[in-house]
Amino acid sequence: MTPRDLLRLAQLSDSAFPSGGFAFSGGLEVLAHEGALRTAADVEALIAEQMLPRWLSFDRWFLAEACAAPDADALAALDAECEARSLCAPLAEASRRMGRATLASVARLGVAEAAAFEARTKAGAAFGHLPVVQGLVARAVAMPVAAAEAAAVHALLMGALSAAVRLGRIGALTAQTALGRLGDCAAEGLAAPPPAAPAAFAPLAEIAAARRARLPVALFAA
Amino acid sequence: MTLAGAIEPRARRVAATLRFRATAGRTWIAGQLTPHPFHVTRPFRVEGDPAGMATLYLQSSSGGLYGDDDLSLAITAEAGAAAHVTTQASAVVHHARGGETRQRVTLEAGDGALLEFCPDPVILFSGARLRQSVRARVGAGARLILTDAALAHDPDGARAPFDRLLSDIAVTEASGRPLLIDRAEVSGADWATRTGGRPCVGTVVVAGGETAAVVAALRAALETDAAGETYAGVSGFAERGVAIARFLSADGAALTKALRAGWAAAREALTGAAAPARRK
Repeated sequence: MTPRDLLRLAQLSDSAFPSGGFAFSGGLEVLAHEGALRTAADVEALIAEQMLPRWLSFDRWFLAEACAAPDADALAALDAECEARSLCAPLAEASRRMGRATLASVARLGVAEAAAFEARTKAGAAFGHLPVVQGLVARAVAMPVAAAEAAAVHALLMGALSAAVRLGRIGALTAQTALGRLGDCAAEGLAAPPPAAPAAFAPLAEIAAARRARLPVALFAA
Repeated sequence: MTLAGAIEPRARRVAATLRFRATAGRTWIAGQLTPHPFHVTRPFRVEGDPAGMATLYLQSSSGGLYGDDDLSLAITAEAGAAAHVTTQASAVVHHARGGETRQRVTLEAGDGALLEFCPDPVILFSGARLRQSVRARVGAGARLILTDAALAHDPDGARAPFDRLLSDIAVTEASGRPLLIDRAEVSGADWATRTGGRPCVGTVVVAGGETAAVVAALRAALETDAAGETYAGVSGFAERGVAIARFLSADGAALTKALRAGWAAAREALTGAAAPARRK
């Protein structure tokens, strides 16, 4: 990986990058409200046992396929498949919103492919799911797929931990130690081959996210 | 789900088909190919069901499903037909002994048909390795209720998990456009952590009807208190006309109760009439 790749990786996975991830908790908020998420250990376990495996078996496949997609039509087809396979409505909405925010930000950086796909989403011809957009961006800026995967999984982990910090379930420093351990788990997962087909089995987190409408007051959009 | 009756160990590929047809306002069996080990009841009527609906039970009198069993079942409800297909009881999936148990179901709901496929849960014994798929296609104005459920059990009490479960559900419209694809793959070793303390998993998929009404009904029936025996979440996708309820239950009894509640709620939302209970 070149220094330029590393700098792109740092930019795209920085929490300051406007991907909209700060608005979503991935079910953490519901579980916290329901009393199932009380401690930092609970937070770490949920990420390790639900969110990370889901990303590795589902999002990772779409990212890699998008990275290898031959053209925009193939990307749109992948995007439509991601939509059909996204069965938790709030998580699907989060994926679309973060993907579109990422597209808009990258388009502003002058990446033509991102601008073109953003136009498709605005025309209603694409959904703009996050892993598809992440793959599109990686291909457009010639970032190695392994780097794109690392950036995406880092964003996932940081997004969840950041949400847990704001929910008062983990301290900022403890979150960093958890991030180290979760990074080890992620690296182990990324060292294995990607799945042959997308699959997801994180029922606890998905059910929690689907129950968002039951919250009397919500800090996060999903 | 139980697709077969007396099932013998070792590899067999067996395909069964059932075809329902509406004639003069009632739904009848228009075609049936159920080779051994499949066995089904005669279709019968349940008071309070939609007019003319046929109910049919897939029966099981065997010790369950074994490694290298490869069973497929295709059910067609022709245009305007109404059919409810269920099982007599849960199916045990035994140790695969180096093989893999396969079950494949194909559902076709013709234009305006109402098709319900609601098997009992599969029980995954230690060493079980199950690959199951359901492919459903819904025609214009058709309505579909599809349930799926699984739980793990170690009869020896040795805390030895099942080996692997691969479940693949796909619902498409007649044109082939996918409406919903639900593919899950999990090892027995990960089952306990993924299910978060309630080790029985259930799903109700509904296609057709008014999605908002279906979602509201499923939520009212299933999205109960978080500390209850079943923890459920419901999503709807109105632009595709599908809804899905997923739930985790504390035990098999709670799972069965949730499956029935979800089906009954969906039935009422789709037809406007309360669903009469099925005897089992």
